[in-house]
Amino acid sequence: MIAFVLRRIVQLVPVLLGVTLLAFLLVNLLPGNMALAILGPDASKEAIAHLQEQLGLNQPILLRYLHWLGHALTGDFGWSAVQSQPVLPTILQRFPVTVEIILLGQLIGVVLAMPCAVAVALRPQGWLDRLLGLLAYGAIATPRFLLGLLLILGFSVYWQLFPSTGFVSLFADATGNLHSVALPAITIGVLEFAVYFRVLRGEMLRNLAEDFVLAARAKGISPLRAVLRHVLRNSAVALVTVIGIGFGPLVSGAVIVESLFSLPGAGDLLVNSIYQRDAVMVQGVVVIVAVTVVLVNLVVDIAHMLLDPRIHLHDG
Amino acid sequence: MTARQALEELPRRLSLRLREGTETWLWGTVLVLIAAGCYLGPFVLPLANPEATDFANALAPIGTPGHWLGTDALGRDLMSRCLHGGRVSLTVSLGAVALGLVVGGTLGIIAGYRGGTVDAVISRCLDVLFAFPGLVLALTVASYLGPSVRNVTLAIAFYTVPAYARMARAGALRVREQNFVRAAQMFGGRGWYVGTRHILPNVLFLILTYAFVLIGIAMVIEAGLSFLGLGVPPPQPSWGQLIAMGKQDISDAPHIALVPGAFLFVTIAAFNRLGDILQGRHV
Repeated sequence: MIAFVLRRIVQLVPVLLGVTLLAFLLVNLLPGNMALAILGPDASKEAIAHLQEQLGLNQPILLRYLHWLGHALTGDFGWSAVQSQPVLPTILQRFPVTVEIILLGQLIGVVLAMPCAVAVALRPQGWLDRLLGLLAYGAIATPRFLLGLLLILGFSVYWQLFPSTGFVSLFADATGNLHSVALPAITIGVLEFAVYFRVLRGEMLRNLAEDFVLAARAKGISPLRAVLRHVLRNSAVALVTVIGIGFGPLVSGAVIVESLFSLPGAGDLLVNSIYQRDAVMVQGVVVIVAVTVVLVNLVVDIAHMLLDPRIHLHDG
Repeated sequence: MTARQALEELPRRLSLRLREGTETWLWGTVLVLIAAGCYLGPFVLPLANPEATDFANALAPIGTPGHWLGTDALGRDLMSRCLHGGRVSLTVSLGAVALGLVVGGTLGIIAGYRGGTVDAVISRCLDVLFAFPGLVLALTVASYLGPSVRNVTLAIAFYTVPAYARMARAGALRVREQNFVRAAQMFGGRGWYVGTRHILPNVLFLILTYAFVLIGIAMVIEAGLSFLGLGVPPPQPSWGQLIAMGKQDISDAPHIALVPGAFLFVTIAAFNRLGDILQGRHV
């Protein structure tokens, strides 16, 4: 167990190095001079050369990467000239909003998907199964910004239940916070529901055919109890994995949703930094997001192993 | 299965086949119509110029004679704009998936078939790329390359290449263990020969059907980029950009956003459904 975790962590080192290197190269190698971006298009050649010297942009790229990485490891991700703010504190201030809407969206997805999948497992191929299957199909084919616009149209313009923009901090006003993130969370939750439902349904139908379900039924356990106690529990492992792996792709969704609903999250920060050509900030956000994704995937791996003892046999 | 059982099963299986067949044709026709409308429509149909403003008919609703899908705030014909916009969306997603298929597919087959150090190196590189959420990577790449059809395609390829590589690698790993591959190797077949003659044909179906699913995802990323204003720039319209423009008038004239939204939705749904049917994953 501990050996497994340690081995995973060791495997992560090259990936984390690669992730930081790629993020660094993306921002530094591609056309678009950082000094020019800071000084604006009217800057004189001497001023650009001076700033390049000052920022250390004349050194070889690998040296600059190592220099940057050394600072990053101590928590210094640089200074955003555009925002006049240090990079890391700005990101850390924005990140909780992103995490909140992602977690709420995932919660909505799970709360909806579990009872639906149980109902379907009791009567596979029934009308409910077909209906939910169709709904899931529709949800998966709907880009998030389109769904968000539809929700704005319905819940803010027509019924005026929830605001379409604005954000209230969780620590200032908890109910106001929920009110302000309701539509963003639903926008994320609908697609998550569709994905979770499809995975859970497939997994449950597969488990239904297993001998242990037959044994449970033979002992006289009711179909509902058999599904809840035996099928759902065994299928939940797959769901946990899907939820965890889904975190990375969901950051993409959060970028769109934060931009659409004007939420002050990390995605909104990324998009605005790109608009303002704030390369240092873009680099910081991209690195923090990617490292978070890698770490979440590690936790998912470990959770997967803890939940399903059978995996010991292959990896132990 | 006995002959009798097979005979009894036959009507059910046939109806299933038929249903799949009808659905395949249905979605296939939808896609062909949309593609034909986007690529040929502007030459064949009596469409207005997508940029031509007509303030007398601004914000016309769906069903207005002459503007069957309505007009936007500047009186531009939505039908014409959607068909022109579809070109960008389709070209970029098809291009990105084609790049993914060739580059990612090759890398994946090499990694899966060769194994060992080659596989380890390629796999770690893929892990690195997978750590970046698709849209985040595409946003960063697109913003630094500058907006154009070619650059947006390249930016989305940063997602499709690793996705394809993972798929092809898994396929190649499965095929590698089969006896006919072992036999070919024992007869002295070299890597290139075995790879192209035995591995590739056996993962080709998997790879081609996966394209349908991936095109759907690529379209969502492209539309997201355009929606954020970092896709192919105006005046060239794209579906995501049209939806973003319709956002301002969502309360007065929701059709401006919803008409291109419907085009996008139907196209993605058609690609997804066809992909699922072809992979035999459908319900």
